[in-house]
Amino acid sequence: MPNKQFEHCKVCRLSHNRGKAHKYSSSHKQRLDSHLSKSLLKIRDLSFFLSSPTVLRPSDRPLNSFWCSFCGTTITELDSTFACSNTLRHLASASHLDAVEKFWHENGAEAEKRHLYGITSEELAKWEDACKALSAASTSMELSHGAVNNIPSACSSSVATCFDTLSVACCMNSHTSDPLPLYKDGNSCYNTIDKRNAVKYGPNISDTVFAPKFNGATSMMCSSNLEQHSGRTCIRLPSGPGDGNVHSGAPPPWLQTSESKTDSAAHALPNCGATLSRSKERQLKKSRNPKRVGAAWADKRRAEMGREAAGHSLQRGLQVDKDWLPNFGGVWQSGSRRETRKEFEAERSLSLETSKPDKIKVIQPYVSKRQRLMESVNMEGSR
Amino acid sequence: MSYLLPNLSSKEEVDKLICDTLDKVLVLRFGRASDTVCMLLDDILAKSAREVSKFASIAVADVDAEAIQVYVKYFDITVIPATIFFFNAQHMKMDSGSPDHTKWIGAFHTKQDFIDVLETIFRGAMKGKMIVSSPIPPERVPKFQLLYKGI
Repeated sequence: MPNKQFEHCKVCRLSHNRGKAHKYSSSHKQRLDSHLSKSLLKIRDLSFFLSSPTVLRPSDRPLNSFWCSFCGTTITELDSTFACSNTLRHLASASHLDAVEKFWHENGAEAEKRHLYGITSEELAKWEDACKALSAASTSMELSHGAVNNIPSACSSSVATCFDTLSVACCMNSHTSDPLPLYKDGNSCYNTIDKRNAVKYGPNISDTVFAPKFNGATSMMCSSNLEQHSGRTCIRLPSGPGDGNVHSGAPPPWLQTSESKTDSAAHALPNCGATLSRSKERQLKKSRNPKRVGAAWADKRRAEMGREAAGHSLQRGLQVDKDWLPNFGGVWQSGSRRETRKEFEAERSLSLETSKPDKIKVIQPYVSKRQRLMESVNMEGSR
Repeated sequence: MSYLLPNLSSKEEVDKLICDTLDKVLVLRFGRASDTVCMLLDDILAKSAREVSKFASIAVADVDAEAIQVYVKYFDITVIPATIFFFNAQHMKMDSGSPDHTKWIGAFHTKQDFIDVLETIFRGAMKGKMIVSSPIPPERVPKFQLLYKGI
């Protein structure tokens, strides 16, 4: 046994005197992997709030806390107005990043994954901007609609006005060729109108049904707590030629997407499925039912999204000059890059020489040797 | 409370969200932020958004937005709030004893009712069912009647 000082390993929770050799042991690596994956899961949960800030209710504040295993501190949210704001600020702080770096140095984790355990200052600045916008929106909403907590009383007091709009809007409903359902509150004091009656009375039935009965219904609505929910507002359907609706089995609009997709649409909601690692994805794929609703669509779309992401990175690469790295056209085996270049150039010059077209030979008519000799003899004789 | 949830104001945003929400239930609330019943529903949606975030995404769409009218017309939304459920770009239907199975009209009575509905839809969708039965007792389902025009 080596005679070294005893140290305490936080990951393995044991004291050892093996020095640096401990962090290379398989048991330490296994524990480190599980420790880091747990922390990563926690931080990924927080990334939801980083992309979409949420107001934290005062009642939920004591329930929210985060244990930072790198710094060994608990971060509470007792004084924060937005969900996980203290935690996000902690993850972006220099002290946390230093602690992560120290942890990495002590425990020998993969250096490429270190950036996943912190938040950059740009991300935090973006989140703070979003929080400011959200708080501005909430104050304007509260000014225009009163206190948010007082919704039930506001609802009961405005039931009468809601019903006025309901009756008016229903009467305004236009006649179209599609089967258009109208909605009517189904309280017992109402006359029961079924489909046959609607057919019998024709399209003007809404005028006769809705208008006179609402005065009697309003008091009933306010009487019980359940019926507070019934003050629904009717709206007018957009006019114009329609391609059918959900009742007539028309093709859904989301599948008729035009090719030009706006960039803003891409940031509508953070997509959690796209950020999963491959191993996690494989595990999930095994656990999912292959006969679930839209399974084929999901697989196809996931592959498309993967390709889109890859294409995005490819496009980024294309923006860089193609000659940023000289291509020596071969697989590097050994030696320096200079040697590889020389080898490649020698090979290329050889291949260029061999591929050069031969000198064009002039094709001459065949003259036999005897004939040629005869001709020369004759010429000498004539001289 | 709609400011607590992602707001969709264009068709592209809605398309993208429906197509890119994979293996999760997507809840789309069509309504107005100023409407009282919408405010009740939004409160319930916002409160449960985090709790159901592992198997559901929630977003709201304003029925007054010009670009959303395609969806308003397709889903035949004549009463607000109307809540529509999707799973893997498929429209999920629910039989709650009301005449319209394509959408939920009105607010939910409690937060737990909404979570129960979501769980039922998710379980049904994972078993390949396009329509599920509502877990909510009939007395807590908002009542309305359907009148067909032009038939």
